[in-house]
Amino acid sequence: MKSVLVGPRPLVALFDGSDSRHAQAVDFLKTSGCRLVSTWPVVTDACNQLSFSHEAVHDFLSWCERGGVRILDLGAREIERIIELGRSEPFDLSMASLAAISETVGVKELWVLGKESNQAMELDFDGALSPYQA
Amino acid sequence: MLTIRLPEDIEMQLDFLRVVEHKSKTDVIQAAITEYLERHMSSVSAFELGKDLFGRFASSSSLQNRSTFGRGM
Repeated sequence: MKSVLVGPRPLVALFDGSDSRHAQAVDFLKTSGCRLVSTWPVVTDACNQLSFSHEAVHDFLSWCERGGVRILDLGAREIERIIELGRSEPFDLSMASLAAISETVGVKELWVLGKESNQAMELDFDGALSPYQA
Repeated sequence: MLTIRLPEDIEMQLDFLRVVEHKSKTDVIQAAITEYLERHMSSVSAFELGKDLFGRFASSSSLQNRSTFGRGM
């Protein structure tokens, strides 16, 4: 089963039924059959964005508890990398944490959910995203 | 609290482990169940684990300005 990094945007789309990308997000997860990997800053960010409903937050965290997302801890090595990434603007802790953890665990694909894209993209943390070639 | 009934032969093997490895029956059963769950859950997709939970609640606003993968605007 393939592992894919996920940021807050797709997570919020999964649990907010009125999100414009909700159906897309569920469809990706259903068809890809992948395992999701993320970090605590991402989970915190998603919870903040789902705070319109404590039940939505509860559903999201219940899914995390079941293992829907494997949440990885950040150690000194990852924090050092986050600090490096933080020197460039704009700084996004969630995305920087994914960049750092990607380098540690070797998962290089990120789930990109947008207007023109709903797929796992290979991540180049110097800034570029390109479609993943298995 | 969970109560389980085990076949006699398995219980005898548990007793054997308790003596040989100095592990309680509870320790062995917990380890076995944990190993089973880890193996089983890792074969279940993220979709299957959440299909009864996705989109049950709505913010009632179509947030078009959320970014592609990171934080919303």
